[in-house]
Amino acid sequence: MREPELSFRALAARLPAAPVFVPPADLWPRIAAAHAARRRRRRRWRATLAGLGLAAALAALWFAPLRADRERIDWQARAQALELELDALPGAGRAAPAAEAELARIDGALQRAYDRGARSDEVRPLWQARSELLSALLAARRQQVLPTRI
Amino acid sequence: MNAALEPTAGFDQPVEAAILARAQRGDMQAFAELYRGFGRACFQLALRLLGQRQAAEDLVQEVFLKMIDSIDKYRGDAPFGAWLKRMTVNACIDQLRRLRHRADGDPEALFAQTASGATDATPRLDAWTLLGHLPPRARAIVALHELEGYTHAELAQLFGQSESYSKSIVSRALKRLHALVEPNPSAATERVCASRN
Repeated sequence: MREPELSFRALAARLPAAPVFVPPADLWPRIAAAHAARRRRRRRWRATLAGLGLAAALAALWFAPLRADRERIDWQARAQALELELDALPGAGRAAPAAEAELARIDGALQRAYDRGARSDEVRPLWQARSELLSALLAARRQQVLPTRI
Repeated sequence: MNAALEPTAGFDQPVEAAILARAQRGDMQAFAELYRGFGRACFQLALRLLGQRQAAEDLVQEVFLKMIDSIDKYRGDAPFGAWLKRMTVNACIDQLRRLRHRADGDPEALFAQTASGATDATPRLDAWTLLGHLPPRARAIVALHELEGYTHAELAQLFGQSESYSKSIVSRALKRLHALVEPNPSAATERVCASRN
């Protein structure tokens, strides 16, 4: 025989009425206060993020000219100044053969670049290499000159 | 028409579009009106499903805060009460998942967790105390099926289980509750048959 179908409602109908439960009177004020506290926390967090963003933007603005300056160095003028300085030191024209060869190689490359009408950004690395080589030569020459001065 | 929301009317009452529009603009007064209309229903449903007053209060707070955050996503496809009720049921199920017991997936082990019989210390039974004799997950499934009209297919989806799991829980739970109310099974059977005739 099939079992009769049981039902909670039928069962509950035979029992005394269940008490009616109501939420405490202060539940909505608590919810509203929690919402307000959450909004304050979010606002503070947004302000912190905005402050950090602003600081990052200011830092970028502050450092941008320095970076641009670094990129704008006139390697050609610097190389020419170093060459004059090198010529002024005693023993001018007595560079090491390897350095002489490297200098000649760079000068040749510069000449060929100018001959074919190269743009300034193409010749800049060559002027930079020439300038750095002259700077190294100048430092080495000063080391040799120093003891004779003493 | 300017019908005020009624605290005892449950989830089924309609909500004026103007109140919803104000709530969607973040007007806390409108949220207070929505709470006045639905707070009690939300609390009673949470209490039925969770069985503990403090847990139900916390859940109502969680649901209303979530509702405040997400009301701008409410498009009115379903009545507001149904939307809020679904949110409440989902939050209750999440809460039960957090309290998950290892035996929750096995109906037999689930009922073995709690004592089944009425004792001399059993207080005066009513529908509320009766539900309290079930394990937490079984209580929620029975309340949703028997009192809130959820189908076994819906329950299976909500709890991430099969339909037969839900059917088994309801059947075992009702047998246990009948045994509590009517310790003599033949008397219970006769009563059910008589009520049908």
